[in-house]
Amino acid sequence: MIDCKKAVQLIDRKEFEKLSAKEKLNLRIHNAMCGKCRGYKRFSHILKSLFGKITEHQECLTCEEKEKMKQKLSSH
Amino acid sequence: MAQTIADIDLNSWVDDYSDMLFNFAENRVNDRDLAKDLVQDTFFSALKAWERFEKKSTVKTWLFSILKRKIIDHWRQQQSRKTKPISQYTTNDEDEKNWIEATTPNSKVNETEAFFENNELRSALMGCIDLLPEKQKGIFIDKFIDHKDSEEICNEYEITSSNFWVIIHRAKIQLKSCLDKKWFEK
Repeated sequence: MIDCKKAVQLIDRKEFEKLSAKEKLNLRIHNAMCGKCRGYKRFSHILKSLFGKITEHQECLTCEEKEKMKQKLSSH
Repeated sequence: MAQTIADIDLNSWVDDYSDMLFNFAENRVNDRDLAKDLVQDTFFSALKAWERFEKKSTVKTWLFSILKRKIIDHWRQQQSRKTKPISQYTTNDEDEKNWIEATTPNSKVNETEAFFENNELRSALMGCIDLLPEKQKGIFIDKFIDHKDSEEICNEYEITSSNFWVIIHRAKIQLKSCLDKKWFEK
């Protein structure tokens, strides 16, 4: 069975990459017996979702701010 | 014929790139005014360096590289004011032994989803990212906010894939601990 160190690496990778069938199975077996890694998996998932929201949150400069920037640049 | 500084249409720079640069900066410094200043400084630096710009990359890529350096300079200044040692970014295996204690699930984490739209949580999260050591912060943001490919990040920072995942893991543990203090224990 894989240890916790390997399990968390798989949990982290799984958020972004496709794991192999063997890796998925190993992780599933480990998580079935390890509450701390299950907790880490839950937190990782929440964190990833939070960042998804942050990425959606796109701010722009206002027209006024852009105009001011243009003025400063042209007077430079 | 080479384009001289007089030929540059500064207005189009602002129109075409300011929003992209601003978003990039804002996600990294978590301060609207500072992000705006960094973008403006980027344009000024680009103007000064225009004659040296070799046009091997696009103007957009070049502006982003200037902005990135400015953000790193800002992080360094911040870091030098903090007492937390950069040694947190070590890859010593001895340090790995304690990782599990830091991952104890916090039941309050489950409530997080309810606060997704809350700006306070966003601020808390970005504030916690701000506390990460410089290199860790750069790698984490590249992955979680910019969704860069892991291999690309490894090449950029000259780290191995294994190191990369250790850094991501440590950053997450630090974020959890910081969020617990800043948000969940409020």
